[in-house]
Amino acid sequence: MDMLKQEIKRLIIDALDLEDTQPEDIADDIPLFGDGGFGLDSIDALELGIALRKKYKVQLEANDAGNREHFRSVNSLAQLVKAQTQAV
Amino acid sequence: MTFSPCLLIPIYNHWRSIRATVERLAGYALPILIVDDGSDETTQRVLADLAAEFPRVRLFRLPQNGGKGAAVMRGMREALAAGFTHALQIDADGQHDTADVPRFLELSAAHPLALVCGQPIYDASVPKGRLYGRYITHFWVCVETLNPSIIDSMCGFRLYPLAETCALIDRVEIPTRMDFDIEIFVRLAWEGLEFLVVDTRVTYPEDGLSHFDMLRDNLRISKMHTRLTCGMLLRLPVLLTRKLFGRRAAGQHWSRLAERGSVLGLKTVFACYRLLGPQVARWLLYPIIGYFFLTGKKARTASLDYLRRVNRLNGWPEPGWRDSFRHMLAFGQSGLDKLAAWLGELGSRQVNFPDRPELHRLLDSGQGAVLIGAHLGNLEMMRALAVNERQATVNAVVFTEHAQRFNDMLKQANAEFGVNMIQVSHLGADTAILLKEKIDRGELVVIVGDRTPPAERSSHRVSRVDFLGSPAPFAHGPFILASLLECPVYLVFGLRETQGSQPGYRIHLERFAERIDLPRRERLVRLQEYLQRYAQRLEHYCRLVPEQWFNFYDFWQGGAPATDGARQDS
Repeated sequence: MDMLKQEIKRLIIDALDLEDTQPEDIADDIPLFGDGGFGLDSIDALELGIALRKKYKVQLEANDAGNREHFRSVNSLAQLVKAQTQAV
Repeated sequence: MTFSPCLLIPIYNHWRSIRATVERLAGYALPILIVDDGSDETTQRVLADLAAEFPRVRLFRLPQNGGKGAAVMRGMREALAAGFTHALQIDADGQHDTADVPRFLELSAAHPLALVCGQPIYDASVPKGRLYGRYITHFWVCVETLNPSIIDSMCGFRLYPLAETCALIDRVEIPTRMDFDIEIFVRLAWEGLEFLVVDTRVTYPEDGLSHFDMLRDNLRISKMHTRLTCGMLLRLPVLLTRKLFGRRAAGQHWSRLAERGSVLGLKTVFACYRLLGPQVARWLLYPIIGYFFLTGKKARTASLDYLRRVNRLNGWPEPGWRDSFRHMLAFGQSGLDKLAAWLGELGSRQVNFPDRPELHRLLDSGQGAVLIGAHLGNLEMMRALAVNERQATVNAVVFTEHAQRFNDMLKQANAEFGVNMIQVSHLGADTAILLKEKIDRGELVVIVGDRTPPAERSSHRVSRVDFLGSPAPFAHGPFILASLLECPVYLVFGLRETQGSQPGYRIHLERFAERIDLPRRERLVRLQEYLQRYAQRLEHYCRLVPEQWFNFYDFWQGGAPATDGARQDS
């Protein structure tokens, strides 16, 4: 799981081209989006979504209000990825 | 809440019919309050006899004739003081069917806060002139209460909750003549009272004495409708909030409403559209848009600023407030057209689509594509059309909450509407994943490119590009999304072509890019180029149909002000 989290942090940095950021700079449970968290915005979200889909083949239920929760933090993303890769 | 009703009869010189009425009502074991509205001596004698004969009758008298309303209000105050909670008003002339009394009482006991209205079923005895008059009044009351229900506002057979009604009549002056029944109905509707209906047979007794003065009372009623319509316009925000968010929310703020106002207004017009037809709905746009025009200073300023820019480029004269009003009216009209489209009333014959081969080429390729549109004309036509178009699946990404409410209305008109509507409060990672799946399945995704979210207007997520003569901020979002979806990109604009009752639309579909490519290092430069190209096309179409661009906010965000000419007349 820790490996996966590390991988996700790396993916965030690469996908969003965060030059001066190291994986250690992203806490597992920090909210990725919005003020008071890691501070990503909605356009970062688009890019991150596509990157996750490419790398992990992440799929979502159409228009489910709960979808957004999966992208809250590195922790929740790791859970999502894990659940979906296991299901396959 | 205890339920303690009484019967209330206002009377003016109806001495012939009152005895029969009282005799029929006496069987209900309810107190009967009779208010004598300054009747002649004969009537007074008859009433005194009745009071002596029937212990349930309580008699009150106005020393001078004050009108039916004065008598009813006096009776309601007396009833409340005597501890009654509800009063069932019945005319003295025998036109109301007393057999229906129990139905009023049952309904009221179950809904003590409601006004229970008699809904007349007329028999052949009704004079035709009165009936037509009723239809006209009925229309006005729909307007005044913003409630296109079928409740009769004129029938004097109705059961009032006393506390609410007395609070109202203590606060505002209600006219006391023939206009009383209507005015109090409208005012109670404004108060937010629930209205229930009892169907009841109404007879015009042949020997009956009607106090309805054709000329004077009709004039009075016309004057009242004028006044009430103005009152409705003043209360419009509250009434509309109530309609949309339920009664309880009615006290909530204004500012929230102003934002959604135009959509709320449209909802009302929609109701009228379906009930009374497109022409009536178009008339209604005038007062409603007029209201928002008068109160929406920001929207007005933004509209004028925009029109100045277009007119200057087109070499047209400086726009005035009339142009700005027409601009807003066009917005209302486009809402009606959307409704018409989804009700299936706007056939494909009225939609001109010269670029159809382009769409067919795209669909034949099996590739998904992003269609970037604008708040210009009516993008909805594209989707309405696409439903019939070779099974194309067109997904529209819709952002704001108020669009959602608006769309819910359209969904009521046609279930098909909601099928591929993707409603998001803002773009997120989940949206991107869902849209990518759709593109990979060969579907179309429509998104608008000319609305910059407030939070982004001054951020690094916008670029200023030239639009109608000066730089305006355009959002990166739609174009970054299009690049991430890795598919062909088209521009789409649906312009209204004709005015008046037969709307027609022309849809323009232009190929924009095979792919939007945004390599990291040149990203800003490339975005700037794409945005400029988009803005140029948008400008081209805005200049064709200036009144159809529906962005009523300060789009240029402090960019170069609209000009010297603008300053001269401001």
